[in-house]
Amino acid sequence: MAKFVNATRRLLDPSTIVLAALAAALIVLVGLPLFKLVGLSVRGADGFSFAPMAHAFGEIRHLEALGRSLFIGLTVAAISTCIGVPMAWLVSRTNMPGGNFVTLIVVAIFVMPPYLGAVAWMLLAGPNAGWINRAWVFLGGDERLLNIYSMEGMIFLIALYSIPINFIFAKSAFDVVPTELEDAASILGASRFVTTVKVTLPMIWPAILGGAIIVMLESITLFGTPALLGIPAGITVATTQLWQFFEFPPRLDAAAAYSMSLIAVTIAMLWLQRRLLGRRGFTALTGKGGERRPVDLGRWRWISLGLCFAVGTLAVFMPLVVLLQAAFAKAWSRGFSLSNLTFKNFDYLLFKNSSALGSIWNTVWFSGVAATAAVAAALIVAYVQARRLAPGATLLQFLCMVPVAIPGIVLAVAFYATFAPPPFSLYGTAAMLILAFTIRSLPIAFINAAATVKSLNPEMEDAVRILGGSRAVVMRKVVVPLAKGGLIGSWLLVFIATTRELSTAIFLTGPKTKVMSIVMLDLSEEGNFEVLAALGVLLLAAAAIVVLIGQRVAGRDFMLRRP
Amino acid sequence: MAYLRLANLQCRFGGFTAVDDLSIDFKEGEFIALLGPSGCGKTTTLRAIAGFVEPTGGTIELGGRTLFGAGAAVPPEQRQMSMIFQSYAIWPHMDVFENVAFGLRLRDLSKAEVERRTRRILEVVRLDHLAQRLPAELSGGQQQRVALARAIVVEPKVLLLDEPLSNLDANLREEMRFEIRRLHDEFGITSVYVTHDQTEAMVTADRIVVMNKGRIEQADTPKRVYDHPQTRFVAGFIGRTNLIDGQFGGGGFTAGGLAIPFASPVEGATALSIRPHRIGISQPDAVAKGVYDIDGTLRSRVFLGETWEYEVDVPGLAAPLRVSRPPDEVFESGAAVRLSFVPAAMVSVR
Repeated sequence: MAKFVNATRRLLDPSTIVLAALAAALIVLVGLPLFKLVGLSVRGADGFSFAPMAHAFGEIRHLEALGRSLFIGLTVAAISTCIGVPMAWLVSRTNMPGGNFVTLIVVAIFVMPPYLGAVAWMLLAGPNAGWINRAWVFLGGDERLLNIYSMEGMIFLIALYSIPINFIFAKSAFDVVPTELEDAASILGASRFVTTVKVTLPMIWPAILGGAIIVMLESITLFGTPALLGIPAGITVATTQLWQFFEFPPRLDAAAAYSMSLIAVTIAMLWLQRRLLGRRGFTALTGKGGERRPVDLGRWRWISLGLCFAVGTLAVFMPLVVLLQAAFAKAWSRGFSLSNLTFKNFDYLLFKNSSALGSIWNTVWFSGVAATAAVAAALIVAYVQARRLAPGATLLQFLCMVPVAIPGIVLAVAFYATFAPPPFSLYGTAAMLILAFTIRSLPIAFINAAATVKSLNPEMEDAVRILGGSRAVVMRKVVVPLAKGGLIGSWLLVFIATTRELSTAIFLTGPKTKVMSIVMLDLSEEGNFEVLAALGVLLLAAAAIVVLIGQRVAGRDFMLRRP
Repeated sequence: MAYLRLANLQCRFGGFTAVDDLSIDFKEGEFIALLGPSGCGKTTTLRAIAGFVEPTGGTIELGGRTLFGAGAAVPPEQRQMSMIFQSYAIWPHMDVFENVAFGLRLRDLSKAEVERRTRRILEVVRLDHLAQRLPAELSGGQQQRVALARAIVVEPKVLLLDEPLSNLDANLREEMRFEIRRLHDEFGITSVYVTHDQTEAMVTADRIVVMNKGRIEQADTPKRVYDHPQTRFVAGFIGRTNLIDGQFGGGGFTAGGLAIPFASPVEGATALSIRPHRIGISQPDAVAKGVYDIDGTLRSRVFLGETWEYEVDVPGLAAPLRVSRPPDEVFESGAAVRLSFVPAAMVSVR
């Protein structure tokens, strides 16, 4: 009897209703698309069929595209690790001057959307009119020096914009290796070199490899750069191949089947990363830093800074210069001159062309709503799970984390397949994009929310209740005020990531729901680089403002933290 | 007359039983200490009283009202209790005044009344000059006093204290023990105090409930718990003791080669407990003092400043007896000695 009364009381509790609604939403938004995707990939006109798989993997060029993606992933991971890890070491462990400035460069690289970097490098290293090639010819060189529309070009660009990920992983590891452990080796007679190789590196290699794996994954699932640079050169990779399945006549089933390969690669990589980071050796890093002395680089100090600066020049300064030039130019190739200066690109974007203005507005409000929804849902799930308030919390956590294994472009395929047809018929609506962005952001929002909730002492909440406050009072007076900083940081992180999201948006935008990234892709196809640059400058300016607000509210390093 | 009553309380987590068939009555205004090693179920019991842990069986009543059991489960916020937490749980984003006034603001009181009562309690705990400070700007002892003030100001029906002193350093802990007892004497709030520190329990409590493995071993005044432990666990947990296994019967106690007259043991007694400082030590040829004497060999000794700690091997006993003597009673290792004690020093335990 008592059990029954208690059970009834629980069922009628408002928090139970909220949780049930959230669980239902997550199942529909995460579970259903995945289910649909798998279903499509193994079904023909009448029941089970290998036809979609055969179509997806039966042609040699489809397999070549996949192989090319893996090759790009491996090369990019190797290159960006070789740049990002030394940069992290320089900032974290040496007396190199300007460490804060280098960190700022990394944040700037992080903020720059890869496709915008690609556009800038089309202006810099396009085969004929690119600035660098023209300078080369002007200096007496023959033919062109660089061609960005190539395999090498893609690898270079993807690696350049992956450096922040390696940097973040490595720096957070370097930051907590206690100097004492290195001193212990030195006192036994080890040279600086031997200490670094035998003590420091083995302690942080799981973090380095973890970063490399994430970079590899991001490179394989990247859409923008291969679409901008690969397609004109006739180089197809897995993501652009997936896109081609949507060209007329669209083969949704083949796209679904082909997606399985990307999901499989993702799951394998994440599993590997988990194993590496879960290793015993990594636990040494959880300790307190202890006293830390920087390594004296001697006269290499300034050379090191110069190399970091060179990375910033390639990834941020040069692209910014050419983008700004193009944004204010009548024709970008006519160069820097007053006669070429104009505001008409911005005028066109903001006042003349309603679809461009609409895309800016769409980007802001879609991202804002998606970030809010993702952070709120993640907070509820993380809180319920941490405080063991409901039995199904682990399932909810699982649903929040599943999207980690779904590359953005695959999520787009799955969402299209699930929600475009009736009964949902969401194609062309804002809801389609907002929901997809929300699901895409759930894992990062959840990881942040879980870290935030973990930092709250449950006794602070018990203290409210025993003094007479309900759960609602606990939330309003203690949890939200104390979690505010972390939540705002998480919201901004999700917001910035969502404003630049291209691969998730690709199959889901209708004529009225275009976002900035999609418009930029269109403008690039039209060859309208001046307006494209202007739009990019607006996006970067907005992102810079958001980052500055975030650093104010959530701490200087809020974008570089690994929760 | 029972004020707070726990009857057949049981708390299970999966296959683990944290609290097992626990029944006890508390009188109004009484100060009770729940004492036991970690994992004995004392904190779970306290959290069940507070309402943070839902028991799997039994009832909890307060002043005649059922808080838990028979279909009722009053949530913590409606139990009119307050609690002091191990971490103090002071809200870092509110200043001292706001922390203390929080509970009052949740009750329908006028602004002036909230102000007046908060000011008064801050004076009582000597924090009135720090009212506008944030918790981060306070010392550990001051934070502890904020927690005390916040819990007392609402005049709770029961005050629950969960190891409140375990985060303080030794000197402050001693001071705060007396502070807590002083506040209890001033306000007379029924209090339940969880601790694993016997000194804390003895200084503060009217009655000590010794717990082990989810059950009550003994509930008595501090003096009786110390002088008349009823179980081996209590004898060993409260102070140090010698436990001698043996049989009771026929007005005596036998163990190994020993036979000691012992009038009325507790029911089911299986061992004799003698505190180390209740055993005298002398040369083997010393005159018998009309008490019980055992001959043995001094195995080892340690000087602790205030006492000598001797270990004496007694033929027929499995373990050596421990003896505490003042610094001037010096005996050498390996010497033959005579141990003596009065019947009042002996307690039979289960």
